[in-house]
Amino acid sequence: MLIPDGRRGIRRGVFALMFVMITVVQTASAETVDVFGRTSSGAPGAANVPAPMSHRGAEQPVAMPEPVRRAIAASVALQGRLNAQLQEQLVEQRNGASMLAAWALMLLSFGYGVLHALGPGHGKIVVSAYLMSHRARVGHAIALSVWSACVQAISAICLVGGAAWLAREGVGGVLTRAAALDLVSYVSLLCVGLITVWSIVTRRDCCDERRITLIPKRRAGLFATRRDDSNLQHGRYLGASSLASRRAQAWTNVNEEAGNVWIARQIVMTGLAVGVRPCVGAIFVLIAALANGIFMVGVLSALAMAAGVSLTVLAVGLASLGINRAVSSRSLARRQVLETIRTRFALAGALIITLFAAWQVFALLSGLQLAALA
Amino acid sequence: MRNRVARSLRERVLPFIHAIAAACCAAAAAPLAAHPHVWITYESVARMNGSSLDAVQEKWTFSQGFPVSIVGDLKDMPKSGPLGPKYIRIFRQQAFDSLKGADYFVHVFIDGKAARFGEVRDFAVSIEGGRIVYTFVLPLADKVDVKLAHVQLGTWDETFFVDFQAPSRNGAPVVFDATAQKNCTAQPFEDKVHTLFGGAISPLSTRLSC
Repeated sequence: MLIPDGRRGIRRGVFALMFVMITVVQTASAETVDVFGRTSSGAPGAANVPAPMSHRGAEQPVAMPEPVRRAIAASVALQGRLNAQLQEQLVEQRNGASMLAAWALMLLSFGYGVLHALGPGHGKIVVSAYLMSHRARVGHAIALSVWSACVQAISAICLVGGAAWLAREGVGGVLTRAAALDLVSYVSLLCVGLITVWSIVTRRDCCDERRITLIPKRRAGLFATRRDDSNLQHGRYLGASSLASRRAQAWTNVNEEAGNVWIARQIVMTGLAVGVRPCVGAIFVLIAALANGIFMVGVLSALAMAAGVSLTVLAVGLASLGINRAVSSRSLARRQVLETIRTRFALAGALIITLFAAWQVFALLSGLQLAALA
Repeated sequence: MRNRVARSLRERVLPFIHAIAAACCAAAAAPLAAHPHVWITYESVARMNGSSLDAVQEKWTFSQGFPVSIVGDLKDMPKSGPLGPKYIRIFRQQAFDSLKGADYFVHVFIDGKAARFGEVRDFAVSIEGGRIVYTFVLPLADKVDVKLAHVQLGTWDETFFVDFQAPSRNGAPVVFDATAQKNCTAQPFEDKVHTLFGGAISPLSTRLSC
């Protein structure tokens, strides 16, 4: 049986190993990605593989219901128009536009973000899997959606800003680096998934907000929070007076904050893992802004875009949360069953995220898929 | 007994059904691989010799948002007009040659089968109205007589990273060159066989006949 310090050591070791692996892989597989999302070999990246329906010459009917198809086609067309207007507004900003035009640009960026996130990527699968499987609140869903979208925007800003100003090498390699972050994102996600599975299986941490802690764990590190003893409710024997209970040594504590800390840590880690892979839409806007000499306007536009992306991701997340609650509410009569279901749900969600990330990492490392753009 | 079974089903089976449904949703989302990041307005010219289709001439006009900086250091590039060999070489190397594997997004189907192409030629780049414009000619490996076969021509990116748009709502995406037979027609239609974006988008294609 490992002591907590030993476990922490292993965890740090795994992270260090992953970091080294990512660095080596990034250095080794230096296949460039061009502006069409194609690698130097001409093959499309992982996220740009043609859909199975579009095989040449294949006689396959369109299975999608017509109203849905029309809605998606309309959203894609609208996205194109928004992008065109966005670029025109950027040019106007360069020429010194009014405050109204600046707000119009932000609004366009927001709208573009909302529509853009309807497409694949942007962490919708991970966020919905997480929220469907955990006893999260609406606030948690908002935090996860906003945080992951913000990390995506910040990642794009750092990538473009870093290439242009810090490295002073131009933005030619930005898309190649963005594609390389694909692997980093999935490896991080794999780590988060594995840690979550491990925590749930070993009952070290789980999804419950109120949990009984026999021996409070001392935490150190990035996600540690200072615990205030006044927040702990002391356990009470039946029949004992309240005063006696308060005087008694707190050998059993019901920690209300532990669950929240666990969820907060999960949100931070999941958002980081999902968002490290930047959005190409934001990259393109930042590059256009940089070319027009208004990088800060591009930064604001990318953040407005992130707000739009987070709104779409939140909508998907809330739907997942609704499913989770619908299932939980059916089982309220039997608390024990409910707790079992919650644990199973949490485990299932963590497994889905882990397997999804593991497959992506395997496919990228084995060459089944090429690093791609989101 | 009946109630117990019903409750058991509701409490134990339903969560798993929902979990499976969620997994299916995730799986269904997977085919939606890429979404548009580059927008191109295209015009195609069917280069004919009588009723025989020899090559396809393409003109791509990129949207203003096309990130030229990614292609290379093009600060000194002219603001309008055709570009010189130096810039054409940069564009060709950095943002054109990689499309060979995708047949430069040009699709010709002869009796439903994809046609093969020869080497691309006459690649040129110009700036029109502040937008990058590509022109090139893609010859067919084997010429095809439009009278003798069902020929279909279209331009789209199967991955949907690039969204190709027709010139305008009423504009014909494909026209014949002057050497075509007078009775040749080009009939645009929505191709529901070669769909994009998980079946959501039917690209515009044109049926050629003489």
